[in-house]
Amino acid sequence: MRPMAKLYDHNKKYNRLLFAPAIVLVLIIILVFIYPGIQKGIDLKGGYQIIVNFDSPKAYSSLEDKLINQFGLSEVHISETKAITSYGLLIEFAQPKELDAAKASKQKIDFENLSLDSTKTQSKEVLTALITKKYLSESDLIDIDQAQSKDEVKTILNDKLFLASNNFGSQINSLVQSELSLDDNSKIQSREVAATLGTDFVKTAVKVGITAFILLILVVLYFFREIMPSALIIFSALFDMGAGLVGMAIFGLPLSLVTIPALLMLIGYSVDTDILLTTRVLKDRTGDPINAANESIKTGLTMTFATIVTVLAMLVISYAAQMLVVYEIAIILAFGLIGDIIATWFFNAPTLLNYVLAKEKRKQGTN
Amino acid sequence: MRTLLKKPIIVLWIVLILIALILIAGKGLKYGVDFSGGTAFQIALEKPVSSDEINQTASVISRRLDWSGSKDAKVTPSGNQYISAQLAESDPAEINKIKETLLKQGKFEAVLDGEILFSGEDIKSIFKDPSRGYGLQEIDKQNDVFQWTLPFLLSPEGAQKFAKMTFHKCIPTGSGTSDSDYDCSRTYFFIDRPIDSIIIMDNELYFEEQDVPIVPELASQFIPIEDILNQLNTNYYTIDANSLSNEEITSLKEDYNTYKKAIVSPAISDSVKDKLEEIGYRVVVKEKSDTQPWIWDATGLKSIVSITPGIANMDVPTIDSPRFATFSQLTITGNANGEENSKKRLDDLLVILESGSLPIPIESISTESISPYLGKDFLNYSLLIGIVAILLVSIVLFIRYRYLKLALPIILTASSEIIILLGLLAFINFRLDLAAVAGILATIGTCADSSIIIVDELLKGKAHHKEIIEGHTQESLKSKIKHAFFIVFASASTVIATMLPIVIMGGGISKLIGFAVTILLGTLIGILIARPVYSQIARRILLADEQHATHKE
Repeated sequence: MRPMAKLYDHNKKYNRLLFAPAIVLVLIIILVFIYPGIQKGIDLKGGYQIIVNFDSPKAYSSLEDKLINQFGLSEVHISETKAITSYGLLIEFAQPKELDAAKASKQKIDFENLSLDSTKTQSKEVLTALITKKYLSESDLIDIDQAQSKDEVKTILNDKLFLASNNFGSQINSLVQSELSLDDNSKIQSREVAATLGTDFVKTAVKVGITAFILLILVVLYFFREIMPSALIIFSALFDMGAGLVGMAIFGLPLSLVTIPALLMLIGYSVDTDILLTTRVLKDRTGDPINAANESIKTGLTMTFATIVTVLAMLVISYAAQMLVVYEIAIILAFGLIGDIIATWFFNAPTLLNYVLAKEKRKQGTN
Repeated sequence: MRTLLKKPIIVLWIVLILIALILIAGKGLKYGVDFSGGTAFQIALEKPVSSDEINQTASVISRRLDWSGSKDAKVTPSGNQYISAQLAESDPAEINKIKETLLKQGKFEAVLDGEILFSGEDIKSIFKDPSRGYGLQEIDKQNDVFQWTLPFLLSPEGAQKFAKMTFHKCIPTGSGTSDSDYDCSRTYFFIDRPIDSIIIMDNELYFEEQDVPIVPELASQFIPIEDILNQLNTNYYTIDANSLSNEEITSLKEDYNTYKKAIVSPAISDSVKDKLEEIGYRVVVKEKSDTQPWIWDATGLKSIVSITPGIANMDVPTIDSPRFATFSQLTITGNANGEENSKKRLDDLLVILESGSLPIPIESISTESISPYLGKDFLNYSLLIGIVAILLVSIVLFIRYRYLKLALPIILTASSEIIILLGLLAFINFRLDLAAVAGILATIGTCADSSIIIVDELLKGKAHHKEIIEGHTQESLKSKIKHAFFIVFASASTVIATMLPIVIMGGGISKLIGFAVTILLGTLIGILIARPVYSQIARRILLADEQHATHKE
């Protein structure tokens, strides 16, 4: 890597590098928080997802139309993916609002202390909406009439709601199967996430994220025992995560049980170049810090290239094979690693050098 | 090379690779639905429960899945609120059916001579308390025979009915002094006995199952199939699989007035089924399972239990005698070989008596299905990614160092790290899903990173040629390695810091955990074995080179 000019010099021209992270930071904020932004995936908000792979492109406008107009579903989202030899359709939609409403009313009934008769009447009201949508039949009401106790009514109501959501699932399945003419040999992945499960997942993800971040701060402080360099490493890690989020925003990847751990993993995956830099600059007292930084960048870029090629292999092949999970993780890692080049060498290095040089000057001053 | 083999870490490394290879080949890796195809269920309970309760709930769910005829269901509790289950089935219609069985509670009936002896509602409680006799007891140490005991309490009305119905239900066969001198009636435990259906089996199957074992897994004692069919109070037909005679049709038409459903054996032809539907029947085909006779599945029979002479009041002359005893606390006991078998029999019975009711209601079921065809593709492509990634890393390393001797061991240790990781995953029975595989693939990158740090630190030593001539080579290299390991450890610690909370606090969300577990284990194997090994090898190579160079001078 001889042709590369020395990035860091004694004239502190390297401070000009700081423009790059500043601009990228603005971009991150715009892309992640303003437009296009990042959506919550069905893992976290509940809903349905069907992915079908085909050998040739498939028309899906009629399916989309039926999902929206016939079933009255919200958040219907169908997108097409093309790989070298195969095509895919990604179909997502939320639970029907009638079912959501029914579940909410059921909770109200559970909570209120009503007489047996009014519990029955209210429960039947809840089910009527579902009967109109053909998720249940009139005969399902009879069971409620025959119930002997309030608890029994509640159990029946609960079962009927499950039945309704199951029936909805079957109707959707037959619709998708006939619209896309699928058979036993079709390559299908389908998911159904209950809304309540999604809420639980969000809570867990937030808890995990906060703990991971606190542990990260403790670990970095333990290894470097100096506030400023540690803060720079943590900031770089956050910047890398931001870059990963940009990847998600650009490629329309939602926050999910796949992308959240990938974002956390990104910290560990990309922060090692920062650790390399900080160690060499702080602890390598034989040479001068500027030289140490220039040495580090050679090693650091080799590291980043080695990881980027790994991630590229994941990205390209998973895209071709339509392995969505691996593809999503690879995109986040790739963007994070690119972001890390900026965070480490354009932000962390100049700031760290300024800090170290200022400290040395002060030391000389006191001597 | 010979000096390298003297280093304990190198020996350990080679041993671990061998163990890992044996584990991968022998034990094999477990694959999740992502690769094997099938459906993963994430069952959320209404509220978090104790570990006992979650295990109990998981075992009930597992039994229910068995009863519904789902083969190879793997049910595991995860965390304290979730249960995951995995099935080979991926057909959406079948999955919906399975979800219904998971949500529906069965109806338990103990039947004697076709009459209900007691049902789920009559059972007031089941004593899961060893002080009341519940549990296992080793009765024959030599032959590894265990006796299991399940005590339960009937309601007063239930107990009276039980006493009257079982009165003198044993026939003396010997002197009448011990239990074995009596031949007692059997009670049949059903879940969802099909009282509204007729049973239709083909002649071949009937012939095959003429004699049915009392305990399906033992096949030591047999009863005629009629004994079971007579408990149903419905009509049953044994017919030619391909045709119905005129008399049969007349009789079937007559039966339709009472019964609306027909449970048929799998061999019954479509023409016969069409005929049945023509009469008006709803035809339900029961598949034959591998583990028990068809008739058990078709009738919902779960267990056959004999009455004991004591319960049957054999020593009392008449029902009006003052000595006639009514037992409200009953126990079911039995023997089986091996502790595990006995435990399973006991657990099975427990779930049956409880009608498969769940200690905690299910709040929601989320599913993820992948068709098996697709899963296989995924596995092949993952392997391809791994190979391509390692190749690409090698190219980058070669371009950077132009020194094959240093780059090759990086590839070697990176590959070995993956092998040891896979071996470890096989050892802990870890179920690989796509996210976990992504984690393993990402490990290749981290492994390369750390090795590069080590090489660069070592190569810096080469510049100080003077030191080598002065004989400080060893020390100098040692301090370089120390330096490199500081960086390697610090970055590994950040990975651990971010992944550990996922594993610990993931609350059993298996999807979240897979990725974190593989990365965490990969990182640990990396810093504990692969990196130290690489540094040893690289050091040897550089030392040899330098000695070579010094000799030349």
